Amino acid sequence: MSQEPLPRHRGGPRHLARVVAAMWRLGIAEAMAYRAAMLIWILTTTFPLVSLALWHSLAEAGPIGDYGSADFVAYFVAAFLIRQLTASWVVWDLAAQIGSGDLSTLLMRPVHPLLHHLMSNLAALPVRMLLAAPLGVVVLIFAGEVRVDPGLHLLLAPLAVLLAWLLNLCVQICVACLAFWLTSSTYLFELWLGLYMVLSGYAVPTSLFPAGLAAVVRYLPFHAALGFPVELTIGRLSGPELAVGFALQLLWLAVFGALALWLWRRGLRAYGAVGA
Amino acid sequence: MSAGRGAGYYLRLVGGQLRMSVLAALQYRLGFWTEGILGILWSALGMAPLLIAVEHQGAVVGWSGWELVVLTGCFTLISGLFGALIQPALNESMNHIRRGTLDYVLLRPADALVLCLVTAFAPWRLIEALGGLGLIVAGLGQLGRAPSGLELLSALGMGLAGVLALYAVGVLILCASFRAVQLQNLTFLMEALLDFARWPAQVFRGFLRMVFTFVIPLAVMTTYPAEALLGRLAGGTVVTAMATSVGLMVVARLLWTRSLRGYTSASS
Amino acid sequence: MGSIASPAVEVRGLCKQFRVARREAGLGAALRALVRREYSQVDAVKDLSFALGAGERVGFLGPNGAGKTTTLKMLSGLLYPSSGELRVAGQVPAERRPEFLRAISLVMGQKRQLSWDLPAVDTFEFNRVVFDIDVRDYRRRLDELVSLLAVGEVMRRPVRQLSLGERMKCELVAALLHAPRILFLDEPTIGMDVAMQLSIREFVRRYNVEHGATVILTSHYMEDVAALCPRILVIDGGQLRFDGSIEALTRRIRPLRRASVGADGMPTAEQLAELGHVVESGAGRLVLDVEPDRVPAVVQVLLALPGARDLVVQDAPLEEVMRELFRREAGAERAP
Repeated sequence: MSQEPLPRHRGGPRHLARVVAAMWRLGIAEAMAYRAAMLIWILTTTFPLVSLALWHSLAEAGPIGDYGSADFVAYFVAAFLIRQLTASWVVWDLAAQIGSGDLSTLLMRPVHPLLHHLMSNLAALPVRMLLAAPLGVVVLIFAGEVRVDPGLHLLLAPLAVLLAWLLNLCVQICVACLAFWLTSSTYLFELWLGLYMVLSGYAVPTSLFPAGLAAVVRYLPFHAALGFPVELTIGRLSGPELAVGFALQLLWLAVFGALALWLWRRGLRAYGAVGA
Repeated sequence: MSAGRGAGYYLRLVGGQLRMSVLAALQYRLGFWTEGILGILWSALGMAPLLIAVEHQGAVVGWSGWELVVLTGCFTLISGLFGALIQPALNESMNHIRRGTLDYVLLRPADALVLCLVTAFAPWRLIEALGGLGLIVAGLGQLGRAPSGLELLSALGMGLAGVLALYAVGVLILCASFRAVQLQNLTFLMEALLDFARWPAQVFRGFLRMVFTFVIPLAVMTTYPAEALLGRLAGGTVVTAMATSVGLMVVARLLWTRSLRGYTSASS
Repeated sequence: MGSIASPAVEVRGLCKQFRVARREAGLGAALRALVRREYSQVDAVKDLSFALGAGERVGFLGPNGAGKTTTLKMLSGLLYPSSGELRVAGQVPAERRPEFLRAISLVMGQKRQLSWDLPAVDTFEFNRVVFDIDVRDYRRRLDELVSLLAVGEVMRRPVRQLSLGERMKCELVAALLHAPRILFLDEPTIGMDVAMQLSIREFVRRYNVEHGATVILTSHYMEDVAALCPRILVIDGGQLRFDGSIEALTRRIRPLRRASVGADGMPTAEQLAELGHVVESGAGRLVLDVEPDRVPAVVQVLLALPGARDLVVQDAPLEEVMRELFRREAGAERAP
């Protein structure tokens, strides 16, 4: 007895758009369900605001490098908000799924698991901004003085932020993929995070590093993921510096993006071999 | 059935738990090494902002370069102790809560809170603590300063108060995680804020100063011990700092007892 | 058997309520939940009363969510009762005194106490320290338990490499090293194959007989309870529905005995009506439910059938008895 062929599924862009929309809604609902975790995460990222208090009071004795108190206010508030917009937690979610074997359920769905993670992290952004933006505004009011000088460059800010977000995502995917082979890959991410805290401009503007060191640090992916968009937003970059910054972002994005895809494919093969 | 729940028993318990932690860690050799190296790297890296401030300003809120070395030594020491003693126990306890295996911990014939606080150790982080000690000695040496017996005692007392305060805050977070598993993320908050103990307390003003002295007493943990060693700590401050730590511990213990009453134990 | 004079477990009017947050699906509900959380109260255990003697083997039976595990956790001191009196081994469990904790042991089939990365023997050694067991006692008990359960080789391998059955055996060793007087078992054989279930059952029975430890067992596997527990407590909806032996329950709920026989010729319909209630007839097999006092007469008739063979007379299976019990309770509750 011959079976009827399986009905042909009509894929295509319309279907994909519906799937993406559904994931977006699910992501928002998840983001709100985890509001406690969100709130705490946001409080954690008040790190730059405390740094602000610190550097602000230090700068009262005189500007540090080319940063006066007002400059620090602009810098750290921008760093706070941009950190909110560019962070993700794929590394923990994905590594846990790989380790526990839950990834199998995701692989059974007709949508790429990485897309699922991308969407749920993207969907968290509005909620995070909703909770973080008021805090940023409050700080600005409190500080009183702020020096910002963005000009037209501000129009490019969303692009820089988007690229930074993608870069962070790719790095996290790379580290998460290591979970296909290692048991504690999240530790390696904490190593990255440690480097990130200092070298990205999160704890202190990278331009304040000693001259030679600053030049090197500003070429690293950490700076591309935070320092560059921040400096762009507050108008500290000249035309040529903008161009270099964007070029670096695209370069690192290409590097980590390719690495992520490669690790993913190799990892899936290893995953399947074990029969998880 | 012996009746004594004395110090000897608890010491043996801690020893047994230490042995288990080390054995378990040795099973994951990569994690063992990366954790050890991470601790030191992180310490070194974290000094960067402070170094930058010193380079630009010479002295930071009245603390000269070598005085800041002593401060950094105090920080590294406390940070190493935190990473070796408090952090692993907190994380493991939270794992137990998530997996529902806290039940087994609570069934052991010893004080439940002590059991949770000794449930895991990371002894390799003590290398960091030793490094901190080295920095302190180096800094004091360069300053040509030899603290008197009383000053040493105050410094030790302040250090102890700092560690106890950290334990207390950890317990508060543990109690919170009984209520909602997501609140476990508060440990990230705690660790992030801990980083600010690198800076002299004088850098913070007003509201933040209050928070960092009485709520999460970073000042107590690093600035006060350093000031004691440098002979700058007033006796009154020692008393208030001790009082703060004791206060936090009492609050933590009370909250813990209440949390146990409301323990719902993850369903099977 | 047990001695009621000094009961191992005494429960009077035990109640436990939980506050559960109500969360509905949908974006609107999630938004509302951000601002205001709604709670509802769940009665997990309602007015439970019973007493168990030392050395008894007792089974808690009941559907999921009936309150069996909650009761077990209150008995072991993990949960605070909302109200009621509770004494286990003469102590109040919630006080969690060391003497109490050293007199009891809880084994949960779905959660492990053994350290995952290390061989079981390391956890045994750790438990020796935790329960302050004298070294010689420890050696002796370890040898006894290890040989009883045959885990001598298995206990030296990392726990994560062991099969489910091997793991459970090691869990039992870890739980019994401190010679507890009362052993709580929560779903100990869950997920295991029949052979392993049998060997665990046999071990528990033997341990109870040899050491006189009171055993309280909850299990979804009726065979575990039927084979192991002369006395059962049926808990449903947080309340005690029945306390007694399985035979007594069966007598009460399904008093009819089930007689089955293989035969080439079947009795007529009128004859069958005389004998009892027909469960199944045809394809060479006849199964009847018969009044207990009519069994001898019916057996004679059945044996007289042409080609009679394989005669079996037994109580209704426990599963059916339980189902009938819950059906009746549900019916009683629905009626005003």
